Amino acid sequence: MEAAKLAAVFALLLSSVNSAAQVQGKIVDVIPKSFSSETNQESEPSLTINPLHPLQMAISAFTPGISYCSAKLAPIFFTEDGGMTWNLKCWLPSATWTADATLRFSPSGQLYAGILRQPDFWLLVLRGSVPTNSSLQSILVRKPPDSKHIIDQPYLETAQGSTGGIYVGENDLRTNNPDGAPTASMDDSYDAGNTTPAFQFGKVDKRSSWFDLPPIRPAIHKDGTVYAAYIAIHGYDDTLKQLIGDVVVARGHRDSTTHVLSFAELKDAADLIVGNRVVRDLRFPYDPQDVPCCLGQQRYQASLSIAVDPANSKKVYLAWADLTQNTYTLHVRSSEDSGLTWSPADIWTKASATNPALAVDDREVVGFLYQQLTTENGIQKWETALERSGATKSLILAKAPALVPVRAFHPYLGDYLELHAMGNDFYGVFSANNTPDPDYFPTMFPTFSRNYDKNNHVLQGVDGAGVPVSIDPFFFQIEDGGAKSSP
Amino acid sequence: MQVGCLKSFFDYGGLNDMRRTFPIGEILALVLVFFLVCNPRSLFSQENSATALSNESPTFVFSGTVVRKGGTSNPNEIRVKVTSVTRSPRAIGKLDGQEVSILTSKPSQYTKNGRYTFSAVGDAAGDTLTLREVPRHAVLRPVGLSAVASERIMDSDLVVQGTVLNIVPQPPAANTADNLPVRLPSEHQSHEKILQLQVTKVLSGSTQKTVIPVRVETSQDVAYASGDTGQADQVKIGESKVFALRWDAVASVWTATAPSDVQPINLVNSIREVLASAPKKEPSPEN
Repeated sequence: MEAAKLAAVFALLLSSVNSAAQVQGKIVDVIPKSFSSETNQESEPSLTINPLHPLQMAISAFTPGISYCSAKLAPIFFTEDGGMTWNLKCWLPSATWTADATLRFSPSGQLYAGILRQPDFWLLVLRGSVPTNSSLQSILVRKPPDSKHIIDQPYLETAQGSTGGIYVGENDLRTNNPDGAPTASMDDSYDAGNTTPAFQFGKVDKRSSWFDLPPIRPAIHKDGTVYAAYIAIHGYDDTLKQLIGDVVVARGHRDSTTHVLSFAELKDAADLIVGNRVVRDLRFPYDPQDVPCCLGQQRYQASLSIAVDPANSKKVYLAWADLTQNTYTLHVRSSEDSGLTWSPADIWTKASATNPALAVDDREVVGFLYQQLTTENGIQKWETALERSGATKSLILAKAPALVPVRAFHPYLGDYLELHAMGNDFYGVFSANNTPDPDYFPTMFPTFSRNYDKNNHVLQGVDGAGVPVSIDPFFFQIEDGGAKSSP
Repeated sequence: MQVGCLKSFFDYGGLNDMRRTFPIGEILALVLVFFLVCNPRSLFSQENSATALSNESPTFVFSGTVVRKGGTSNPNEIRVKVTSVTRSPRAIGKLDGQEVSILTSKPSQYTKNGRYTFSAVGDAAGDTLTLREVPRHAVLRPVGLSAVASERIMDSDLVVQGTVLNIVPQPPAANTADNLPVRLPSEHQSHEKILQLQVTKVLSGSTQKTVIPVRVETSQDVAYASGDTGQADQVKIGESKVFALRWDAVASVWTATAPSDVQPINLVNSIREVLASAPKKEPSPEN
């Protein structure tokens, strides 16, 4: 055990002084050594860092092929050494994998999760602590009427300031729900740490939209300001088979006496309805028969992220994808007046890209993580890249053939990934091809706990036999915002 | 129903695998486990309770030698060197020869250097595996079936062997409430098909018909991913499979909505083992 710790420290030192790219930090494949033989597609990762003990972090991802836990538990990955080594723990009450999951620590170190439970698609909000031998316990259960009208993509955020509370953005597809369409909704609780917390449910989209796309993203500032971003659909182009809609940002606070969360603070200047339409009448992919497919092997779905400056709650950043000249394209814009007006031009534009994630560090450096389909010598590749404001070069964290391995299910890489800032560092997680080849990781070579042959760049099982390439979650930490790599 | 459960209990060797004399207290405990296991519905009806989790199909069955008793942080942990494996998840790879930690509620029943057979589920994993011992009971998951598949089969209304005569795709669910030209786009879009199924053998439950329509789920979304053994998204006309069906009273149709509800014919004996330990079925809801 001591030898293992020494090895981990040595690896940390090596990765921290990676001289090739002059970037300090680390990338780590989170699959533990004892799972060296696994070939599951662990896509759609979520990452959380314990603010009380920042060396403690947890990651969720899809795990259909693992079948390791009991039939009623799904695993997550967790670390207690700052991300150098990760363990798997059977913790989420779902039948061996979840249909969606996000994880967040609260300021007091409680671990929360928002999941769609398998196999019945119930939305659960869970709470527990790390480490513990008991699974996370439900503090909110929402049962859909059937498998076609579920409450989709519960995306959980915890307030990190003294105001406390948790916020779960969710797309309520229950057609018979009391409030009817549109579907962008939020469950929130001001006392989520209590034994029996109170939850409030409310529609975020107050317009007569037809519906909203799956991601409903909250961003919480420590001063109590709550932002919510969503994509509201109000039209359809039957010729091009495209949805027509707006990217909207709502803003509000929780009343200090009644604890009621209201988004009434930000109204659109044109129609005076709650929620500012940042960009209007955009085009989004749609398939009458199925989910729209595909960039490489990755379905389009919808892409959305919002982040608020920890030093100034008026500064907000927004990323989304739409069909720009028929190409699925990511855009990032900013507001300096609490979402009232937005930069007319993009800060960043990335064609053929998806899975945006934004974060702002303590020096107000903005980080933008995304995955972009590129073509190199006729071969399609997925690049996972991190942009930082003030830097002229992006950090290519991973770059691998887009058609290897073959997709086991949708989504191939996930419908989202995550980026967080703590102090001057960016922390994130993405899912990617796990070939242990330095060419696939241009910024720095990851630390692998799972077995591999470093000479031949192939994975090895617990018995040393070759293991096929698969999709793994990769944790990364770019120290000092990666600023030292800036030209 | 409980005869089959009892038979499996002894066939599996819940008693004779132990290399020591049984104290009467442990025998009584095993009898209690037997009665709990043979009435699994009563346990699984509770939400997330510790009781519900106690009735678990093992994902691991193996023999091994105890090399250490008591872990650094947990006195209920024993360290075992695996010598032969009956069952372990494919993701683990080769388990023989590995040392694993086992969390047990009764460490006193094991002696250092003693050789035992263990039933367990995964609890954690790092450089090595940490498993949690579960009762050696009759709902031991037969070879070839995942834990999820075993429980789906046990909980189904009708289990038949049958041949697919025809497959008819169903249109995606429409948002009829609002008369929109598009459906509500879900990440977890269902993809249903209706099979016309020629029933060749009824394994559990009853049906009066020889050809029944069956609604199956064939979506490629993760929510419907097949895990390790499901086949619902792979059925073809002319193929014979085993179908674990549930009755949809609203649509009046048999359904196989999880991939693991459709299993290959070569697992029929394993499925019979699961059904032997399942609770007695109510009369078929179709009748």
